[in-house]
Amino acid sequence: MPNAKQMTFEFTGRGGEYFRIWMVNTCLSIVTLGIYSAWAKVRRNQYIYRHTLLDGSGFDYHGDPKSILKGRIMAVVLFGGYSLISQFNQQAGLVALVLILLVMPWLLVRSLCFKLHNTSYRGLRFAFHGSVKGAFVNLLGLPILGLLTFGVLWPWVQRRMVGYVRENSAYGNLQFSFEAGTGQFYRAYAMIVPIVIFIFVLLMSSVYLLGSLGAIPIQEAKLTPVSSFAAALGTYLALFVLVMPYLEARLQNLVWNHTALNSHQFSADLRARDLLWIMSANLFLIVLTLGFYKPYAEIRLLRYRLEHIHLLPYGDLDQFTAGLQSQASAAGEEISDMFDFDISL
Amino acid sequence: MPVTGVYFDGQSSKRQSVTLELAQGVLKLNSDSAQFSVPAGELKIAPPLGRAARVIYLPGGAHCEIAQEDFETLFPDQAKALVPLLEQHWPAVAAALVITLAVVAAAYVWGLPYAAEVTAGKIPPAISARLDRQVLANFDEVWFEPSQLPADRRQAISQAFNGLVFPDAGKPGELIFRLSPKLGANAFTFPGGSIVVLDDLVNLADNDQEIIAVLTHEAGHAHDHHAMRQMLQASVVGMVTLWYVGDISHLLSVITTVLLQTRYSREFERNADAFAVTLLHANHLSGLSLAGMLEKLQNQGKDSKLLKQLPAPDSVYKVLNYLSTHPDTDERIKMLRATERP
Repeated sequence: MPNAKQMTFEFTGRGGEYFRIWMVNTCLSIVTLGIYSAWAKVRRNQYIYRHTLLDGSGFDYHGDPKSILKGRIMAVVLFGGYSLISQFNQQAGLVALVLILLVMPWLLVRSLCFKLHNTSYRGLRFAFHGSVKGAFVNLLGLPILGLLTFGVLWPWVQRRMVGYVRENSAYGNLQFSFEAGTGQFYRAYAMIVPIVIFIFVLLMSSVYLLGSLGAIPIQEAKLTPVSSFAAALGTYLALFVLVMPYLEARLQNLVWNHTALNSHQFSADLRARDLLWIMSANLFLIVLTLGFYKPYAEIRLLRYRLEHIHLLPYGDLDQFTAGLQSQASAAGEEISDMFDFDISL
Repeated sequence: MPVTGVYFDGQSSKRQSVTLELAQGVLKLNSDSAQFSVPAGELKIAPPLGRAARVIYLPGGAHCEIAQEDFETLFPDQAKALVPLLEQHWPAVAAALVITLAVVAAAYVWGLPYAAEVTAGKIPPAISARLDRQVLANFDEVWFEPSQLPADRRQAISQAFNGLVFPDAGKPGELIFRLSPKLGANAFTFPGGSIVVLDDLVNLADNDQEIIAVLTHEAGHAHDHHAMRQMLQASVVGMVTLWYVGDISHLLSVITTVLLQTRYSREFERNADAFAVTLLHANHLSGLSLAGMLEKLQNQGKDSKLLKQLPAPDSVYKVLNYLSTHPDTDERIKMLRATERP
């Protein structure tokens, strides 16, 4: 293999700089009653993309603020209509929800098209070629199946979802590929069970012990219910605090380690404990600063994530050529943002 | 003075070193293999962003990237757009921060309550009634049982309440009787204006005047659409906090929403008390019966059955009580007593 030197994504953004952009964006968005938010989004994305470097060259974002604004207006109308209807009539709300779910695959495809089409690296655009039919199966049907089976099938569903998005993405004239086994997704989730049991048993036994020693004032008859209540609450919190970073690290590594762009292979080496540390420090500082640390937190997390993704190129990166260019509208991206359906890993 | 940059033709990912020079309104690019010129008017120059390389888009999809300092050498007179200028100056950023905080605070203190008040007043009665039926159905499933009071007792209370003279001809909402061992002695107003009285409250009262006093307080909530406004405000505050804090922690956003809500509910309690006193006086009744009833409710709230079911230390009860449906009871009793003093 010629020139097998591994390249790492670099992120040169700084918290202080990003804070200023964020503050000006927020202020102008509020003063213009939200209209500027479309321009703010472009500016924010451009800041992040241009400070993301691979092999010394930056990425770029080309989204048109006017298309984003149109998308946002559509999203507000759709979302506002839905929440208004569901406040006053649950049946009509349910019908509206089903209708929204049915158009969701189409919106998600539009969203991915817009996002990738407007991303470039070294002057070449990315693209998304996924069909709406594929989105219906992989982004709507299978997740519903995953829910109906109480999550038992979820790791398999997630592999299909990631596969659909990655295998239909392209850079220039080359397709991305994704080859991970279902078993690997199950293994990523399997570790959660012993972690949860361990935390629950640890919390319950320590509360029980402290209670029976008199360190915490609990009546003796109430020891078992009190300690199991405290352990359940603590485990629920731990799910968010401990398990989320763990799962995120495992999944991001799994996904990138099996993603390739033709013969250029990606890899990732995030560590759960690093993510845990960054996320908890971020949370602490955001609370302490009443929310103003948020832009710094975002940059810190993004830098860690990006700088643990690598590319092992086959040859050099000069050989890509442009693929077919297509126009993409922003409506899908904005609406799927509003409904919290952003599945693009 | 020529500067060096990187050139991409837009057709391939090939990176080429170029030198750029601006002379007489024409940009000249020289690479090892080629050289060409573009009139400055056909260039599209991206506004500066942090310390990222400056990007010059050329006609036909090609672009050049050059370092920030080199760009300034190349285009010394390039006027900066407004937004990047704001971002580069800390005083402008500080002003943006102050304006943002002021607008958000004003929206929370005045804008949202005003919008909720206007909206709540405009909701058609048919929708309010339907909403209340749904809320009642939910409560019946989880909290309520059918009332155990004798029918004539319920009738007497309803008649006494409906017989009150209301100041601006506003009709009182529908009175609903229920038993709830979990909630104990309580009365509340639904968003659509229906008033629910629980059996334990009727049994707790020493006389009918005390029951009527509590109902006038609830009628105050109904008259000013407090529950509906509360619901609308809660939806907006909840949505905004979820949007801002949600991606950090859902728990945090729930806590923030609850804390932001209590301010509104305390104000509503005071307004409902004022309405009750006016209504009681208009019907030649005393506000003292409301104070007496509040005192009884406060005392029984301390060992409410609902709170007893949760295993937790005493301090938790106090916090729960403080954040519960009727806050600041001591202060309200004092105020009611003060208004009755001759």
